Amino acid sequence: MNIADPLLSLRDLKSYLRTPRGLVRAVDGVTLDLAAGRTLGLVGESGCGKSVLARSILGLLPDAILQKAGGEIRFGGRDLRRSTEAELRKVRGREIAMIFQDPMTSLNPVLKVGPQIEQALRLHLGLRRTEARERAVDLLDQVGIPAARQRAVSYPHELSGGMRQRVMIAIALACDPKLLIADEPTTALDVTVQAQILDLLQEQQARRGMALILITHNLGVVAGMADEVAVMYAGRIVEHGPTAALLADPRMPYTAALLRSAPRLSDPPHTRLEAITGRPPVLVDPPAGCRFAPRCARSREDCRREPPEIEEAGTGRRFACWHPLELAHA
Amino acid sequence: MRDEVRPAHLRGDRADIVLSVHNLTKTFGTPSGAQVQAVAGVSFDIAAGETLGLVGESGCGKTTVGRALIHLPPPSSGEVVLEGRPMSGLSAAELRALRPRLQMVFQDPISSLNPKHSIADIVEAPLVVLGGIDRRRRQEQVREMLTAVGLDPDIVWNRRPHELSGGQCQRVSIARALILRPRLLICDEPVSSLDVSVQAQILNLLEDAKQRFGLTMLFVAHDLAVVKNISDRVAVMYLGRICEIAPSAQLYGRAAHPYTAALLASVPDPAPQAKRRIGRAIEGEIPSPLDPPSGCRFRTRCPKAAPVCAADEPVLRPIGPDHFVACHFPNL
Repeated sequence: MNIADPLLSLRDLKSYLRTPRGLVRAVDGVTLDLAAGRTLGLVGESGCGKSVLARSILGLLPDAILQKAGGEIRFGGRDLRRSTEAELRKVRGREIAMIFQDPMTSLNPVLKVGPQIEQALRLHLGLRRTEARERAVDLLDQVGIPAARQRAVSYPHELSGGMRQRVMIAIALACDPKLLIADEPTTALDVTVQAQILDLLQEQQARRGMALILITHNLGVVAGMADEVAVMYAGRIVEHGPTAALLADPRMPYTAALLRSAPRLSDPPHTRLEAITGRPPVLVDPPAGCRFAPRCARSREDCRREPPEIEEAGTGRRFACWHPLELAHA
Repeated sequence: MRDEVRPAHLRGDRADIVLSVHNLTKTFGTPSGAQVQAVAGVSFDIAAGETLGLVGESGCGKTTVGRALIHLPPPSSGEVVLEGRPMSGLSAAELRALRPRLQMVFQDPISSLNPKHSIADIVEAPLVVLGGIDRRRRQEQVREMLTAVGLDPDIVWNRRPHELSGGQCQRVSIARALILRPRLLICDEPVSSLDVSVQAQILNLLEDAKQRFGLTMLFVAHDLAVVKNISDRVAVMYLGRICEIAPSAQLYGRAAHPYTAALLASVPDPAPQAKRRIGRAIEGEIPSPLDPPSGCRFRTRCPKAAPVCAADEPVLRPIGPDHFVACHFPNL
């Protein structure tokens, strides 16, 4: 598949949410292409809009909350923003699957895990009961659950957090989706189990050739997993590019600050961390210019007047900044 | 009972030990009547001005150790000596008298603050309980302490916790813990619910507070990079036991226990030169503490496990200056 014909194409996507505090511009003009089989790491801090973006793609935001929806979500020749609920239901779980941070709240607590996988298979693929049962056991085996046949009759609460996340992945993979969206899939897990789950995701993705959007706050996770990284801040993508280049040479000051504020194993003890002062803006009433300007060490007067648009900067990189950092490793 | 010999890694010869913990255990009953030993004999000490990091995965007992020190709930057995005074066998009143000397900061900054109280009242409360200070002097101290933790007293004074961000609430928790000028500060996952940019602010604040108020710290956390950043020494826990303890640079640079090595290999590193593929470092998950493995508790997941590991439980023994490991086959 070439760049001109991406699997997923977002154009000026906007999702404004109704909240008690007012209209929150959670996603505010996101444009993004993702080619088949690629992995995009979507990175940002709480409240930056990364999870709302994912739910927007799948049409998972209830009408009662989604007060204003704008832009296009082009996937497989359709615009999902203009699809009916019935049409979306055929895409969700079948062509685009999603896994969430907390598998305990995503799985049905009163249903054994095998039947939860069978549901997806029977609904989307029309498999018969016995066929679905065999396929479910096979999927549990593929995601690394030992003694899959016995485990298929366990309830979610009888499994560990890591095993539950494997079950979620089995459900997501059941219909061989073209795109898997994983929203903080390892945040609730211990670090050794996280490594196992990331390894499993990589292995399954390579085998199936599916695209992956990996949403995380952890830059280390995207470094090991993603082909390209998009950094979100206050409802917008502020920088996007190939993973290694973006991490080595961030152009947008927010990306650079995010990288410097996290403690690293390679640094000696008591290394002073470069914290970002203040906190992200409230998206009911975002700042007029660049939304990062109030916290940015490089901001000047023009930053506070006019918001920078995200623009191409060559070699597959884009960023939104009036006064970008120079390329250090060019 | 385990032998009562003082473990090799306790520095009984040093005069500046603020906290000494010897063979601490904590057993919980389960609804089915079974007994879970969450902490199965843990010993460590912390010298004045030192930060000891206690790191491990969920269920390893690290939080229970921190809480047992402030008797929330008290340990099942073991000896805790704070500034030379044994804490076991003390009456409730005697314990209360010790309370100003050790204070705690919890993980969830919002739920650990009373939602109905103003920020000023929350930070003042320990002084009121302590007694003997007039109101005007108390409020002066609250004002000073709020400023010291990076909050503007004029802005936050009458606010309620829900009106502040998570990072600001954690600053309030730290102010409340420091207002009695404790000697020892126990921090239980103080930054794990915070975003990375705010996490850096709080870690820097703890470093500053440690210098300014002459604190000694026990820092309990699961994030290995965070623990390395703040700690002088680090103890790694697995299933209720300490498996390795060493100065930070030593532990992170030359991890001797296979579990420590596996933990470190599992941490994804954002350095661009880091290897692209994240390898699974060890298989399986932490076993149930209801039925821990015989011998070495890590042996069921350990790549180096041999028959001796199932038969004999390894004890912490020295392998370098101030570096102790409980393993029959350490990486040397």
